[in-house]
Amino acid sequence: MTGKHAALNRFFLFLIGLVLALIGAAIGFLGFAPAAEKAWRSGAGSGVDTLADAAQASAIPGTQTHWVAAAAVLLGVIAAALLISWMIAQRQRVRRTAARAEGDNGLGEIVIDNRAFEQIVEARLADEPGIIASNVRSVPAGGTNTGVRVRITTRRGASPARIAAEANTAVDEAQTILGKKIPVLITVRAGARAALGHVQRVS
Amino acid sequence: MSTTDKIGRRAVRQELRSTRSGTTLIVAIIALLVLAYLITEVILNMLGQPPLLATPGALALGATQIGSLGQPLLYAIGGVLVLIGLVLMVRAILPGIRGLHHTPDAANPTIIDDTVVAAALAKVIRDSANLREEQVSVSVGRRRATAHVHPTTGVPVDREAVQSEAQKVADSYALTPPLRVSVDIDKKGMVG
Repeated sequence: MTGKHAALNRFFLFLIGLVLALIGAAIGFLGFAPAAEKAWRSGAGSGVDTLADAAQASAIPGTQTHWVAAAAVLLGVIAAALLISWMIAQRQRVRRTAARAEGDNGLGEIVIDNRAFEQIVEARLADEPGIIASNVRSVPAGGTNTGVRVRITTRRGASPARIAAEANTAVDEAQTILGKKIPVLITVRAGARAALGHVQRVS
Repeated sequence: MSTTDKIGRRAVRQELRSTRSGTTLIVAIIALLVLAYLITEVILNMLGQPPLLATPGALALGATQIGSLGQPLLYAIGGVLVLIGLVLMVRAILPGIRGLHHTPDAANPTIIDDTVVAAALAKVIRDSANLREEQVSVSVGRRRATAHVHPTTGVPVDREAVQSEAQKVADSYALTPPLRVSVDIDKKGMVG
């Protein structure tokens, strides 16, 4: 429901970290063991030679280029596209629909728009003096599930217990009105003024 | 347990920990730059143009002869790479606690920023000891909240009373993990 690939991010970071550490250790080892350095120089050198020969053999007729280079460019572009899609996947995804439900009479589907939920919650919280603003978003919550994130920004010094209770009442009210129990995550944050300075330290 | 509860629990667990999307973005951008450079060199080579820095062949040859850089440089390069790799692995494994508490008793999963808790406790202490805003500062960690109080000169503050009052309020928030409140009173007073 945070809308981010937390587990996948950590897996990739670990993998990239492991590869970098292994390459680093290998380079350090080349300096440490001259025999390994010699073996690498001749082994990798003949590998490069083989590749160069293969490249020459696969020359595209009538041009200076060869298939190996073209394949390398293609692979590189595919890898770049994957990287970019991974970067784009980092942003919070949002859905317009908070929930869907089958009608009792079997005539069709009921779609609850995110704005319906938002307006009920905001209207209910508008009179609470400790709350500066509230923000409601429908986000993917695993598979086809949708969850609703309610972010509350509080005035400095407001009681978190009171704010949490108010927010929970507002959310319950919205669920009752809309007739569906939707997974909701409520986050209570401090306003900009209180958030200045250190994250965990305010006067 | 219903699907709603399961989704809620998962959301709380995820929200309390860093998603590492910042680190991920930096790594992805660096990888993209390296990749773009290599693709450019290969394409320039295909077109018979002069290379930006070195032809792909020269780069491959350089990699096989990296040993000729000499021991100190090899140790330095290897060390830096190992260090970066370890930092990434550590960031992948550590939970990345985010300065948040949650209230499992609430009807819906509710997460509260530590800043909110700190500001609220500071207000409670100010009100109970009749102090001004700048006389109380509260820092909230995962399991403890520490309040520093600068009393007004000549007006002593009852530490026990303030602490028990703040603890009572902190308990009423029903946070997980629970907070233990300690109050420090400054020996030097402020001119009020």
